Amino acid sequence: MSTVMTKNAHESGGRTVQNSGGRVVIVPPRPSAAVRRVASLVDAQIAGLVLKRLATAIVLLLVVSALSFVLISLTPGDEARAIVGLGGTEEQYLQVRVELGLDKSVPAQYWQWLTHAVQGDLGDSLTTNEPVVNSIQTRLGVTLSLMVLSMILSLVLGVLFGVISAVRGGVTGRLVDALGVLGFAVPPFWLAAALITIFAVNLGVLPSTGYVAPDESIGLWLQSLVLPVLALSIGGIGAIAKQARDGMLEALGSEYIRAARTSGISSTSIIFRHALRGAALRVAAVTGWITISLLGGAVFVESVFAIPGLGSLAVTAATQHDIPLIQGVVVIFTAIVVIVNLGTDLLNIWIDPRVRVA
Amino acid sequence: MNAKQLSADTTSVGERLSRGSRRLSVACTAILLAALLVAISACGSSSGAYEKITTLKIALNSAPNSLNPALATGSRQFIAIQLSLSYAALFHQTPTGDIEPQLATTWHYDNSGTTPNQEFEFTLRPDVKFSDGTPLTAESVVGWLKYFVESKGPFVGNFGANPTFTATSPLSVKIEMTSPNPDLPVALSDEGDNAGFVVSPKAVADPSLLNTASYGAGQYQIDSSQSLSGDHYTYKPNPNYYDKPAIRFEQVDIKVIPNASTRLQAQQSGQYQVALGDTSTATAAKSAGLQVQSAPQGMFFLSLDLKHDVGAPALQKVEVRQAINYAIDRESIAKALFGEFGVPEWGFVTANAKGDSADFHYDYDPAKAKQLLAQAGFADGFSMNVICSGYFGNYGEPLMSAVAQDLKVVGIDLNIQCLPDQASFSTDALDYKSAAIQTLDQFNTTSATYPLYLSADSPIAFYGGDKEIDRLYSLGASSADPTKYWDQMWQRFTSQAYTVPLVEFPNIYYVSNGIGGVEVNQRYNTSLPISWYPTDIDGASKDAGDLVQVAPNP
Repeated sequence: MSTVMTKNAHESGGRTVQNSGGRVVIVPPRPSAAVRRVASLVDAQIAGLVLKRLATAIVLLLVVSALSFVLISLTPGDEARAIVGLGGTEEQYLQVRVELGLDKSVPAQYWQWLTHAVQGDLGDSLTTNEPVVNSIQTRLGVTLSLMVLSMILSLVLGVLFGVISAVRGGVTGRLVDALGVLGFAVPPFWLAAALITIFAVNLGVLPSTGYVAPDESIGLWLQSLVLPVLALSIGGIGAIAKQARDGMLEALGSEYIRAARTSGISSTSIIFRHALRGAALRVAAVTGWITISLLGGAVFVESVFAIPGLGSLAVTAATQHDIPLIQGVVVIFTAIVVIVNLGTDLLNIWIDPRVRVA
Repeated sequence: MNAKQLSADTTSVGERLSRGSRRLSVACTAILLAALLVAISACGSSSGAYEKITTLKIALNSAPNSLNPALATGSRQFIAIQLSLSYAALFHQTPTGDIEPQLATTWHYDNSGTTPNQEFEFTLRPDVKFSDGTPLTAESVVGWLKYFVESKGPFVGNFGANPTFTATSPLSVKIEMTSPNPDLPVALSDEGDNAGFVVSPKAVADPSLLNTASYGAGQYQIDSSQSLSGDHYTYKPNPNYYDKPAIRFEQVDIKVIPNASTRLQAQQSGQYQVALGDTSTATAAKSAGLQVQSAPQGMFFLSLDLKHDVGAPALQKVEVRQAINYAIDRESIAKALFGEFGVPEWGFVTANAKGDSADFHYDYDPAKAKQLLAQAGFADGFSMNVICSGYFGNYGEPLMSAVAQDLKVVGIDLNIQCLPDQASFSTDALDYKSAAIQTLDQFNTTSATYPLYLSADSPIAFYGGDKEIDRLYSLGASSADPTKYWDQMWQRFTSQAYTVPLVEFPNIYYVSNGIGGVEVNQRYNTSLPISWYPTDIDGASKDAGDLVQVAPNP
């Protein structure tokens, strides 16, 4: 049974037919063969991509977790010695090693960890005896808040600056380029310290340390993240602005934009629907690695601002040779990288379905 | 449409877009400013006005690995500050070094037996409860002390081997040791080694409860819902505390900020009122107008390994060891690296004795050092390995490099290896492959220091022990006046140059206006927050909730 459409359907190419009841109706235009081909390609491609990424993720997690286990075991010192201290007797040290399972061989320790990990049990911290899953759960949201807000700020300001500089050109364009380079060059650690000095100590308008959970107070949550997010996103803003600007310039100078102009499409539509879409692919290409670099930057920023996230947890675990905690953080970091890569690929497909993802 | 028209058209598009983008830029700037104003409006009030100081806010450099007093390790400064909030100790040590009653009201050594200072008895304060409501009894203290020893934590040495603990009455406890210890009241005080922080029987039966909560009889208890292990802790008053008027704050917040600069900046911005400082930021803190309190927490020294084959046979000669001590210009190194907070050390310092004396004070004298080396048959010098702790800032590699420069002058080559963390340092040290090991001794009583660094049974008594030192220690431990023998013991230890003392390691507190009672000195190097109180602009002590005028921080 055909569907009755509005008169717009006729104007957009809909055709009139007589249904079985003798009634004349307008049916919507059928997608073109090309569009149907692309749609089916995209669906198949997405499904294939997701499956492939999942398979890769499992292998990657196994490899990374095994590698980190081996690397930790190769570094001098162990947690038993850290717990017992210099003054502890050899008997105490050996007893603690047995209690912590450190007397087993490295492959045996890894196998024990792995068989528990696949069941969701990442073990207990050797230092605090708290379940690793609990430690990660309480801190994951903090790091994700930092990363997501930084990414949003980087995207919004980066695209904005890039578009403005592409359209206005001249000095503005050169300034954006310079800011992009500066964003890469300035280390987040130094920038963080400078922001604290200016806004927290001298002006006294923002807190220098700490984190307030959003369920306690949205306002204080945002306030506690202003400086850390700024410090973390500077590099991303510069990189995205540069890509957006280059993409826009390329798009604005292309034949299809000229053709669009001549066919009467409005200037706003040209910029924001057509040219920006073309530039978006370039922006999407860097979004992935910027997001992953935020993970690394978060380690420094969390240390400077004393934010209880995964980054500061990773630093503490590494200095204390807390193997279960290190492994837990490694697994989560790897999972985040896999998810980000998958998201970037899907984003690329969404922006341009013609993109074939390897 | 031709190219010229297209170009003109694009230009006009560009102009319109430029105007549009300018408006967009202005709009975005306005939005950002508005967001900033919203954030600013959530800020607290500035100091300088009248306010009620109800919450004590402390910034520490680290947190104990465990909130269980039996297992907590690390620097005393942050362990004691945290544990003392929720665990009242059996005794309280005053800034003058006197021992006062706390959970225990009377105490004495029972010297009716053969060896003095081996049996110690004390009586508990009646009607005291732990924060979980359990009464404090002799049985609960005995249970705690037994658990403390059985847990084999880092501080069990105070009781010696195989101590026994007995409840002789509902409120009386007897400790019987196999070797004498005249310093037990200090060890069981809040300035001791955690054994005095009595834990409720409920948590002794299930120590996992101590991972996230406190079960003490102290002024406060941890609010687990507002605390995150290793990052921040919130303490609320203990409703069962036996002396409620002594509780000066409605809440205590502790934040762990490992970065020294961030810690200082956070205090300067008003987020914290008391912070643990260090030598790298102390001068800046003073310039910022904060009150800086400093006292020696311990000492960095080189332990010389005379027990194992470490490739430095020269060290077996006392003249060589003395030469090393004479060759180092401690005063210059201390001043150069640590400024006004750099204090040189020539001998061990303990609560009851001092190691150096006029006879064995190693003044900087490289000529004498060369003479001694020649006397010992090492006029051409020698080389030796040293490992150091690379995680103590300037006290690590920079200090050892300065020492190496001085030793080079007299012909001794120091091969330095600094380890990045405690675990790797401890492992390397106990591999016994280095001739010298940089060690941090936290000033303590002689009875706590001897088992660690002097007794031949200790794994870190690298020098291998000395029978005369053992004899003098035993005489002092069983004497009514230990100092008479222990002074001689330390002087022998120093004259034999078994170690190379270098510089003091200070405890430094930064204190903002509005907080009083933070006081440290040579004998009392860890000021505890249970002694702190809100103060008025003229320094008058106030209670929590009183309206006070706080002088603005510069």
